[in-house]
Amino acid sequence: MKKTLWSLALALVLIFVAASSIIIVPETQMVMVTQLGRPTRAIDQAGLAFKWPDPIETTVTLDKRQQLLSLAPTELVTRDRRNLVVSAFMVWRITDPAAFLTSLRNISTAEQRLDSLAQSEIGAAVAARPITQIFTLNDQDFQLRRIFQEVTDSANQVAQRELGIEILAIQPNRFGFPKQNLLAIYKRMESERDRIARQYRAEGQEQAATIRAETQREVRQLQAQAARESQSIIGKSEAAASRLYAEAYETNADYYRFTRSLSAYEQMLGQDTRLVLSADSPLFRLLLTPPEGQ
Amino acid sequence: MNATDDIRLIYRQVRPLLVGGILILIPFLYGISGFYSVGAEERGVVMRFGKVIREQVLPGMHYHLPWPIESVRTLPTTALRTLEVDFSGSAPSGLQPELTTGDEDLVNVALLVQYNISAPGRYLSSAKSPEAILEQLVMAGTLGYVGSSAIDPLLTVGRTRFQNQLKNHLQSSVDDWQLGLRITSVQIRRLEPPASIKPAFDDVARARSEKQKLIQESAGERNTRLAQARGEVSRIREQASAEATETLETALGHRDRFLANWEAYKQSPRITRQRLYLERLERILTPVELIIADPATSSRQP
Repeated sequence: MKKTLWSLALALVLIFVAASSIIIVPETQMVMVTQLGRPTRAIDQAGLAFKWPDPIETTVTLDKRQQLLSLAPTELVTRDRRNLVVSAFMVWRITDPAAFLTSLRNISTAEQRLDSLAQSEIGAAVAARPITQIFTLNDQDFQLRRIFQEVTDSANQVAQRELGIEILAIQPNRFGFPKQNLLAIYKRMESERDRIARQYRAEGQEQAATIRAETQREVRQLQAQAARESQSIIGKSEAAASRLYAEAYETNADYYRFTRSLSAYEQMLGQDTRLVLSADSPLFRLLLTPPEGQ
Repeated sequence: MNATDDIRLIYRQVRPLLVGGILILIPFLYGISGFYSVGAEERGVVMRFGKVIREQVLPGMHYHLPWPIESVRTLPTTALRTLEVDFSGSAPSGLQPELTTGDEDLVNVALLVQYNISAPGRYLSSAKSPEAILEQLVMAGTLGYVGSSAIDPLLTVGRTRFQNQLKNHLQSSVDDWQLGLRITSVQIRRLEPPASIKPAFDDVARARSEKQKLIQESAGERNTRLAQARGEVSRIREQASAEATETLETALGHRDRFLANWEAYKQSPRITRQRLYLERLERILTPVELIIADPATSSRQP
């Protein structure tokens, strides 16, 4: 009976030793192996790993995934004394568990440290620039992304050197003016819109007037051309007619003068004409002298 | 013989069967615990001792080595997920709810981002909360794009470009950080000026269409007037050539008449001349009020 008990106890000890010398490392974690409280090696490959059984070697497990840290909105001043409110976020992860454990121990201390690190870097970066370099239409000197790239780089250097942390990004999720400045901005935008609307209306009227004047000019030009052409056509026909008359009449000038005079008289004398003729006129000789010799 | 003896007898006969059954059944059950199924919209991720060994197990029945050697997580990967980012809704106090454009104007923005899980293994292992990171990336990307654009193209023609650029930017950030996501679309839900000055923006749009209308109207008027003028021109030209034809024809007629008359006159000039004179005289004097005065009497009058 005693023998059975002893073998049972031995089996339990063996099971404990086996279980505590096997480490299962998931993809999301890394394991720090410590020897009597002193970090000796880090296991950051997922899978099966081995160590000396407890209490010779113990383990500390750390999350190696990317962590999101929101930074509280803060009011900052640019180089040209404009106030801005910036809220940002940070993505970070533990890369060096030994350095992390010696400097920070746990995630919440790390977050406090990273928060103050990022805030001071952002403040310094914004204070070094005038607002026109932050909000700008020029692609070359567009700074918002570059500013935060610089912030990320310098914070990352500090974090990797001192904290065993890699900062993947510090980026803004809000970036703008404090609420008390809004009314002035709204006013400026509104007056600018008014100006643009007025400009559109003026341009419309100007272009319409130009088109109308141009039309007027073209219409008058067309009419003048038509008048000129018609005069020239008529003139040519009159010249041709005149040549015809001249050709015909020149050959028989005497006869022409006779018939033309007669028809001229006919035209000249009409109903309203009163003609006083002398009785001596040869016209009435027949009328006033009775025929003789009958 | 009593009942107890009976039970004991039966037990003694059945015991080897029971023990044998348990010894076979337990390993059998342990063995089949490795079967698992992946649903139609899912992919399976198989991990051996925590390490991802397969991350795209297709739908159907599959087998993995039983616990604790291997384990499986299934994820709905093909289903599109939607992330809504509304800047004005989530503004912290003390900060403008709008975004600032490159010319320091303000716009309201709300976006809808659709995505799915493209690499389930990475999705599970790279970040603590990939979707929260994605939301922050959307905000940062929007901020960056709006901050480098002028308000007018942004509100009018720049929407598609905005959506495409943001989508590409998000995809490359997500790829850089290995979040295992695929951005399928970025849609603008709202992109407009602040509500309090919206009337001013509407007035600009109205002014723009008024300008177009004025130009269109005067162009239409121009076409009408030019057509009228062309009609007038061809009328004048036709009239002139009609007049010219008339003049010419009249002249020809006169000439022919004259020549014909002269031909006749030439035959007997003296008597024709007399006849013409008298006939004409008759015609002339008929309507005329005629006073015939004796030269002797009239010379006596004062």
